[in-house]
Amino acid sequence: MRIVERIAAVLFSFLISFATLAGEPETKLKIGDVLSIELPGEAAFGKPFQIDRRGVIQLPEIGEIHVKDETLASASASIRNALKHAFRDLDKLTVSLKEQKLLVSVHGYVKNPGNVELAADATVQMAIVAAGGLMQGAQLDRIQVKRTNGSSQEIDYKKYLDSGDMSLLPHLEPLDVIFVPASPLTGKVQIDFDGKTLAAAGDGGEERTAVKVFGEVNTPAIFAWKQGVTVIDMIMRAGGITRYAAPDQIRIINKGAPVIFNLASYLDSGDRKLLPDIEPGATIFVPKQVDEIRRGALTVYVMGEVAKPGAFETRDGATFIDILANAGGPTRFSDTRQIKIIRSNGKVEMFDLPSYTNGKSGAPPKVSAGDAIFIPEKSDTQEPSWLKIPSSRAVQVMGALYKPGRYEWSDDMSLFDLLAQAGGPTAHADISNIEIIRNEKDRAHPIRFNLETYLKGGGSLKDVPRIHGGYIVMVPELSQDPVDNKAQWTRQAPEKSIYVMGQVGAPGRYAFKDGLGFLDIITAANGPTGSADLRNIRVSHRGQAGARVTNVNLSLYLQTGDERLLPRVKSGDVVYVPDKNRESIDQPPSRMVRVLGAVTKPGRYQFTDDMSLLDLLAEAGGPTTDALQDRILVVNLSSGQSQAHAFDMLGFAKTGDISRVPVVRAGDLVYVPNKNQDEWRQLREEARDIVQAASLFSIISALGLK
Amino acid sequence: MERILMALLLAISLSGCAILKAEPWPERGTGGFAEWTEITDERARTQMARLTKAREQGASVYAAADLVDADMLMQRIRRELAGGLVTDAAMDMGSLDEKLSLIESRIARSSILSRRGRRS
Repeated sequence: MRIVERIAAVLFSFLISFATLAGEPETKLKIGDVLSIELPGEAAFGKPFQIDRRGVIQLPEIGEIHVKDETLASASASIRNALKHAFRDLDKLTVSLKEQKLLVSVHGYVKNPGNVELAADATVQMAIVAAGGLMQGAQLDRIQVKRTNGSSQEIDYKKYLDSGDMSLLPHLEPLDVIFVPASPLTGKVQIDFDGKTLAAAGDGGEERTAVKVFGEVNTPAIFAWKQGVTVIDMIMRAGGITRYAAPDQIRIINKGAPVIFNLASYLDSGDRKLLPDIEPGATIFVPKQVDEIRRGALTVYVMGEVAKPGAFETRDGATFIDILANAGGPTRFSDTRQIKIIRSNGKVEMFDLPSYTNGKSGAPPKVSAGDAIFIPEKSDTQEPSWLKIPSSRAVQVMGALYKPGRYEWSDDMSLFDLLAQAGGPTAHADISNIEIIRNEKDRAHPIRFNLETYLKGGGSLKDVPRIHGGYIVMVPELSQDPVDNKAQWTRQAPEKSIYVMGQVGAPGRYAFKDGLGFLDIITAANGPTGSADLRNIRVSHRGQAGARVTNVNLSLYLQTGDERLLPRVKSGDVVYVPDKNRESIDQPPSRMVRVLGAVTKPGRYQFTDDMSLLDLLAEAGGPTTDALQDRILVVNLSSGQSQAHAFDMLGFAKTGDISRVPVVRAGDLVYVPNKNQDEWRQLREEARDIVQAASLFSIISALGLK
Repeated sequence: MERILMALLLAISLSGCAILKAEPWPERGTGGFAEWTEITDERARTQMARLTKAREQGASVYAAADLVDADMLMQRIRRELAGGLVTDAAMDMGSLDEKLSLIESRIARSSILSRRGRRS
């Protein structure tokens, strides 16, 4: 019986094998295949039996039985053979291949790494899906499939995803291990990051071929290189260039060789020849605009204290304000009063922006391509570097001021602003003679301004000298000591001086200014001395068209107080106070009376109409002892009526008859004869001589007669 | 003796001729203090009256120096008139007229200004 069973089993197996060979090719069982083992009446069967990773199935009551790589027939025989020890009636036992499964492992950057069970024809993609899908940061182009025989295959999963080419994916076999690597961009520290960040980091997993794009692009990153990719593609992948980029200076390093790519020219021309190839591992650098010297037919340069200095492309119609606004506007450190527009032809124009905004100046300058706008830095008054202010923008203030120095200037300011900025004049400042040196065409032209008169009397603002950059303002100092100023006399300009000479207490050269009078200068010179001739003070007026001398009778002024007697003196005039005791040979004859003859002090004497002949004789010391006092002669000299009269001083003295005193005027002559000039006396003397001669003659004659 | 007397007479006559040949002494002059005497010239009297009136009207305040000059001129004129210097006196009277006119105009102007000052 047992032999019969064996023969039947062999026959059955043979028949099965034959049927299989006749029907379909004999396939070997694989790991993952699911067998269906049916044995009627036995509840332990009727369920699928899957060949596990070790190639065995678990049979009820029996345990494991290895069926891998066996054909279904041989596997059935083996199963039957194993079951016969525990089950009976195995004739009804059927073993069939219910379905085929694929057991693989998925590891790496997948969400649920581990063993997965797949359909027999499953692909890598399905395996990855079964493993929960890829994690962010998975490197798609370097997924590895490892076989049980130790071989390994790398697949470009990304390429498959891009193309759908199934041939790119290997046919999976049981127990294959799919390994999804992490991108190098994920770094060595595990962090959670989103897809946006991951995309921003690029997809260049392979360092040798990845293309590095950095500089002024929106998302600098390392990107995977692909065949035929252009620099435009790479820049687009990097999010495009920023607004600060210099599109005409893009640098590409292809295999160590630098190439300059002009994106602007390419976009202008569309010439593909300008588009360089991107080799694997290329480096693309988009520099900043400011890093390169930009120049072009439409470029305007904005420099200095603006928020965003640089070169700007201008178009027709762009105004100065437009350009300035595009440059971010002036900073708070800028000196907008001194904006310079440097023309392309080298000319420089100044523009005062605050003045324009206040409506004081006209339209802003037109800016053309090639021009440069320079907004200088606002200088601090404490700025130690005075070189920052050019001469054309500075005014030098010198002299008797509290803070003389070099000040930055704006034409909106006035002389008063400048003096106030310089701390104002000191107590010794001569503000009546402020000197302003203006420079015009390399020549200096002095201007004199009397601030004192202006402050006291007021006047039109137009009378105040206009100050411009490069001018010099000098506030002179008054003399410290008008008496002893010998050491400093050179510091006092002649046109500011008045000269006092003669009989004054302190003759000399005095500082003088308009507004002072004749008495001021006489008093400043300590007044007239005791011997001063107050009636004949002379003032020589200089600086006029012709010579003019005024004779001042200060004595009459002191007598009457009539201000009209005092002359108007100015700087440069000369005041001379003569000595009344000095022999006045320089006095005109019309003011003098000549007293000659037998007087004690004959000479020329000043005579005024309030004097008389008696005053003159007294002034001349009176007649001498041999004077012929009863016949003093007075000659009235006149152009029309000259005459002579005698004066009997002796008779006048005896009688006091004033009618016997002759008139004397300035210019007349007084002669006092001596007694020898009396005719009667002469006659008497001559008669006496004759008598003596006659007597002598008579005596001689008498002696002769005898 | 007769011859002696003849020679003596001849010498005396010769001396007298020599003395007679000299210039005669001028007449005695007057006018040196004519300001103390009465004015006889009509024109001078008129000027004196103007001068007195000007002084009364305040010439010593408004034209002090000119008044002094006018006084001087007046005194000179009176002396010249008294001393016989008529031509010179006439010329000086012309100067005095100008001076008096000046004084009078100043007095008039000053009085107008003073009236305005009182009104304001």
